Amino acid sequence: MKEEWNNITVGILLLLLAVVVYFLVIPSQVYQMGESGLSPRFFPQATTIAIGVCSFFLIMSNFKKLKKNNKELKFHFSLVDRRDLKVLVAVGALFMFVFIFEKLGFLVASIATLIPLIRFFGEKRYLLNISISVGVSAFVFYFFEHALKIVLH
Amino acid sequence: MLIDLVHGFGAIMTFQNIAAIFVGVIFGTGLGALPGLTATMGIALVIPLTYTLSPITAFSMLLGAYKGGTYGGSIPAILINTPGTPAAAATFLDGFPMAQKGEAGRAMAMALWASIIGDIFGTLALIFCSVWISQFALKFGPTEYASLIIFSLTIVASVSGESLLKGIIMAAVGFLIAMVGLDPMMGTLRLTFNSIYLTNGFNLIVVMIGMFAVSEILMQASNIGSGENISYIPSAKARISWTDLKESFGTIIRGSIIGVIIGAIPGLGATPAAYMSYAEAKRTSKHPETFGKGEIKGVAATESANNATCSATMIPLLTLGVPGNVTAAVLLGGLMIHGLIPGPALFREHADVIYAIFAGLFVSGVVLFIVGTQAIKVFSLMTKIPQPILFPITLILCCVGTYGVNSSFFDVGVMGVFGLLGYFLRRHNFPLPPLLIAFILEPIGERAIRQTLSLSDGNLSIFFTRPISLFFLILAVIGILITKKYHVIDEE
Repeated sequence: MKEEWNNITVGILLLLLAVVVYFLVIPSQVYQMGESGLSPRFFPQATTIAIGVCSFFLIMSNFKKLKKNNKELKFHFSLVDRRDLKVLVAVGALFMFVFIFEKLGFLVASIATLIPLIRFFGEKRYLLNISISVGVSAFVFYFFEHALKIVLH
Repeated sequence: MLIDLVHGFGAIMTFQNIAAIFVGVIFGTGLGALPGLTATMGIALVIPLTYTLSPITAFSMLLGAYKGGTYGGSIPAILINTPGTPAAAATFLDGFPMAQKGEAGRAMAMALWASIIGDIFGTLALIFCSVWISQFALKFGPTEYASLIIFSLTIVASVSGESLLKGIIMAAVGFLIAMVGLDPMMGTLRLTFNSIYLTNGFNLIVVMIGMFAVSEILMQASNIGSGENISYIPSAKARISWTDLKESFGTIIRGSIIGVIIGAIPGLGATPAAYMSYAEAKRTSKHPETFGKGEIKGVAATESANNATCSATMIPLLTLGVPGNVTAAVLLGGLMIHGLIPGPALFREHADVIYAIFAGLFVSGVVLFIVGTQAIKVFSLMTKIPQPILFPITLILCCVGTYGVNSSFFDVGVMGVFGLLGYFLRRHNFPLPPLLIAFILEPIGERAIRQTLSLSDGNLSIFFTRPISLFFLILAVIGILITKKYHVIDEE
């Protein structure tokens, strides 16, 4: 039952996305040149219609499955749950890395990101954590800067 | 021709040439194994090293880097669900599930054998059939490209997993994402939201690393403390059995043929070849339900096809002077730097160099085997690295690799966004491969379809009146019927 409600929720989101893209985004973001099928708008519009139609079928097919299995349909909103909060920590670390990299260079950014991330993923040995963070960062920096000639500072 | 080839072997078998091939293959394999760094980048970095070398030595090193890079991309695809290069974009489908079962070494060994056999097949096609294949490739116009792309889209059904509807939705989303940037016919901006960073659309490497590598790391992050971490069982043996090779041989040969045909057609490349080979292997298998769950033939199919394209890409390059993809364009630059102008005249004026390069292609296959077997042993050790250390390091490598593409922080941010999107889709059981296939095929397909309709004044019958186009459309219909039958049987 949970999977069906997941599919319905995502289907509704995709349908809304298709409607917004078709009626709002494409008219403002894609320049219309002529009325023929060769217009730059044709393919985005056709694709958006495909997303909308398929999402509609996804919603309907999952409602059908629910009806088959349950006499009462109780809406179960299940887009996010607790474990998604942990994901936000990892994503936050990624953007923190980019921010520090831009301001202070790769080495500082890499060490400052690796140490808390390794701890977050479950490694409790601090000495090992710090040694690996510093060692890997230095190796990657040297390899990219000197072997690949990609500037990292 | 055979005598010229024997002379070519005589020319290639010097210490300098063999050493150059080793350097190229080792460098290419190492680079291909790092997500974000492609075979193309490997070749571009090796070119300056070749300035003082003879044309034969120089080109042998470049080709070694190309082959090593194409194979090397399979290593992270198998070990950490992250294709190292676009060519390995299909290898993770069965390679990673094999690693999760403790068969990472077996998967990498099959990837190596399939790569070498595919590579030898491609080289033989280049040497003996290049003229005929190039004539066939010349017959490809916009109509044929459009039909081939339509046929290629039937692959979506094979990689959609349990829900074809979700696969179609993902393919449509992939199309939409690929439309960001310049319109392929009119040159006007589309869906860029006035951002100069989006003028050229999203980079394939950035999307691929975000969707697959970063989403995998986020999946692991979400399972922290829940006891549901996806396990990475340390790899046992890093070899395949004779039975594995015998049973996969038909798949490897079919993949090699597909790789040669697709590689010889300018503009397509290794990724569509790999996916097409995978889809055909699954369609023709007696047990298609095993694909996507750690089927060794899945790895064989993708790797044989993508490595067969390496030599096949040289067919239009050497015979017509037309680089088939970005990598071939870089190789073209390498040829011209050393005074070799590709085209029909090349075979007349520099036949000795050309046949030495052909011999070098065979030798680089042997070198790839030697380097690859050692690389498997080294990279298998990665399965023993504790996950709390492996994943953060992988994330940093992904960020650096992505940054290295265009030296752009915007790309790294986009990678993060696609990572989040990929995580969200995976959590809700939406398959990602159809999105990637559609993203790769959309630019070629849209341009081809619009050019075709422009040539025919909107008349669709042009697709059915040109023989090659009709052939691919018939193949597409057959493919859909077979796949539909498989989905019906699966549901029953």
